[in-house]
Amino acid sequence: MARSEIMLQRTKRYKKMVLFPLIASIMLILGPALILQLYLSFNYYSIYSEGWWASEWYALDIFKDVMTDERFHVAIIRSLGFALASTIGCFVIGFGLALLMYKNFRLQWFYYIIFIIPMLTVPIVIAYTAEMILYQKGPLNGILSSIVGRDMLIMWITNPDIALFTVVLMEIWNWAPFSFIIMMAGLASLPKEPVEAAQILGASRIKIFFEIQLPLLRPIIVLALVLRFLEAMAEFPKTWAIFQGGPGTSTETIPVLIYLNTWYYFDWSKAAAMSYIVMLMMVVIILTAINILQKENKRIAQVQAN
Amino acid sequence: MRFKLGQLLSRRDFMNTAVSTTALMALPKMATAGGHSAVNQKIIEAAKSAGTADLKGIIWALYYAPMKASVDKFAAETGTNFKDIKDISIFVAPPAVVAEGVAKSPEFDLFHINSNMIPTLASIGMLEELDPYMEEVGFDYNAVGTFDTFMKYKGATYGMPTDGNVHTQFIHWATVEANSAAYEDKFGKSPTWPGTWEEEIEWMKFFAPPAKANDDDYYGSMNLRNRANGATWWFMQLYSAGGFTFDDDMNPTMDSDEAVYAWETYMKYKDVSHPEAPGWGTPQMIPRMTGGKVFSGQYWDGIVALNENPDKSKTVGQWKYGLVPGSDFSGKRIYRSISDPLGALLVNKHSPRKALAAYLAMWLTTEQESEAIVADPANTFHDPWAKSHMTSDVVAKTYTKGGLEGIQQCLQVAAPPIYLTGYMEFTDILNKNLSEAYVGSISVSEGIKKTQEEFAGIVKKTGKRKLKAELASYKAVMPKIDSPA
Repeated sequence: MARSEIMLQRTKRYKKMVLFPLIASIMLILGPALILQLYLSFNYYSIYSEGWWASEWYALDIFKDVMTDERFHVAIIRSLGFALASTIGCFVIGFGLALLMYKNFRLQWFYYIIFIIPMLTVPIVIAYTAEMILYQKGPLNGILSSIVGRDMLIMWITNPDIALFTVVLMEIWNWAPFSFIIMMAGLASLPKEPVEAAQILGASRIKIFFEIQLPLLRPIIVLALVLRFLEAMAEFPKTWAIFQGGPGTSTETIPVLIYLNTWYYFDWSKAAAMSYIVMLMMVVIILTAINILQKENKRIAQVQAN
Repeated sequence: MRFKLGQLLSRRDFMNTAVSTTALMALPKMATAGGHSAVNQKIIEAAKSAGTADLKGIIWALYYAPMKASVDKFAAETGTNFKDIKDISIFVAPPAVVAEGVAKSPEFDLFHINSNMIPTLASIGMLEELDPYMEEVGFDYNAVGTFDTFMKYKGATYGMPTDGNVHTQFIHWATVEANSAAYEDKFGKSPTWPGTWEEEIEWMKFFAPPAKANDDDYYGSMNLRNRANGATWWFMQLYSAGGFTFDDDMNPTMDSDEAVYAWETYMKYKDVSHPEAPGWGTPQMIPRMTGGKVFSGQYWDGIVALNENPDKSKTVGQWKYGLVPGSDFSGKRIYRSISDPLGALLVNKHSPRKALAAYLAMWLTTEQESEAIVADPANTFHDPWAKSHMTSDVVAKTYTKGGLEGIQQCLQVAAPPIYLTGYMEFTDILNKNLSEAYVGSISVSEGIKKTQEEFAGIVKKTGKRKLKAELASYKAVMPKIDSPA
């Protein structure tokens, strides 16, 4: 057997060894919960009945109930819209800051700390702080009024057409640092040679960015977007703390609706079915993202090999 | 200067005093040698004979703080303490308590929670019936009106109230006084008190604008219209119109004439409310009251104490408190207030220490102990509910005499929200639809239709037969009189 083959086998064995405790822990901790959740999705359980083991077989009726629930459809669209908008917002700001910061300069550490503070702040604190800032006669409208030179009386919290956008803004403020850190790491890991070669050949900074740095960063960008998107789909504390799904149902996203079904309506079977549907949806999104990432990695490997 | 005993007290005086004291001691409910009332002494004895334990409970620290001294007294007398507290807000407690109940967990002994959760929690078999303990020590709530029925479900008692939390009418009387002459000119009568919802809106429309001329942030209504709270006001309007939420067969009556009246009345307040009201809860509204930036409304009575506290309010002495508006919709004047959330101590049936927990809950609810809890000037979370609170100088110091009169009137006509299993779901659905209609996302008629359909769905899911069996308990909590005495 060739030496390289032996090395490959050893690497594979090492990977399995490292991953085994992780997979075993997941199976032990999450496995029973997922199985119980699946059971509850097919067997109607009421908290008033004897016990979950005595619940009645409903086949696909609970899933049908969820799939035909208009409130659930709207909540999915709302959540997707929210996650998409906040992911893009976080990425644009995070990447912008990373581009400003990735080269060494004096007091860089100071700015670095300032930029990551929002990510270290507890979401509930962000929610209540934002609430004070966002009143109609609060500081934000005051600042906007002085900028535009006329009274800005935007109802950030109470206008149902704006409320979800307000949560998007809070999410961006909270999580742009996450994209910033990932993109900083990505920029720092870029090979210097192609950039230096391009500089010697007289390429402009914009051309270097768009034609060399950005293509090399694509896997990192996909990773930053996917991770942030998944997190945004699960956003709950800020939305619940300020809005509880209101005004009306304007901020009733998937996590809010599942929470209501679980802990207000005690309809655990319906909530379990909802969670499964959303989980499957997220699995599809993750698999697509992994596929894209793999293709990007292969493409880069090919470019580097050539 | 020294006195001889004989100079201060003659022999005859001494004998008279001794005889009267002995006679008084023999009367029930009066102070015993230990400084306790008869019922408190019996509770102590019963608790001592049941052993000792360190009890554990779910209770919000803000509610627990004024109870601490009384708990310490109980611990000193009986050896049973209540020191392991899981601090959860009363608004977030229901899920945690239901989780304990479903798990049949013996971990917690006491839950301080909204008593409107009693049907739900009793349905999952987690509440200890308290009647045997009450009989054992001769405990009586001595509550105002029929307030004790809030603790009952299917004829059994499950809770010890600590907080009346009744909605009371608040009027910024300083504004009325400043503009009473103009009111008389316009209406040909002096402003006394708004008797109906329509009159209250008229008052708000009349009195708030002149005040607004001096302060453009001054608004008419202090009633909450956010997603989490709006239904509370709607219930008062429905009940005062003579309406109810279900018929005798448990079909929802959300599209009845009375319900439509309640929806329309609820929406009329939009004209006199702050534009940001759809997103406002108590944290936003309380500073407006204590800051004198709002005219009138029905609010939790604990805020009376806050309004009248010079350390926390700019409007001390500027308010009048009284009976909430009623309605003539049914052809006769009916007044209905509401108590929700009503803080009560419930005992976990699965706890091995449940007897001790029951004795402690009763101890905290006795006239002797609850007076100081209710009167706490800093933590005004436990509001008066017992007859003795209404005549107590200590309680009056916190709530004012005028405040207590208003609270007493409202307690006599206090109704619950939907006092059935599924209370949280019914309330959230109603809150959701009211909020959507209030902000204009749906029309009032759509809101009514949706509520009717969604309520029917909850009834079907929870079980019509089960809910029908509970209906009598719900109706029993409803006030028996149209107007307070």
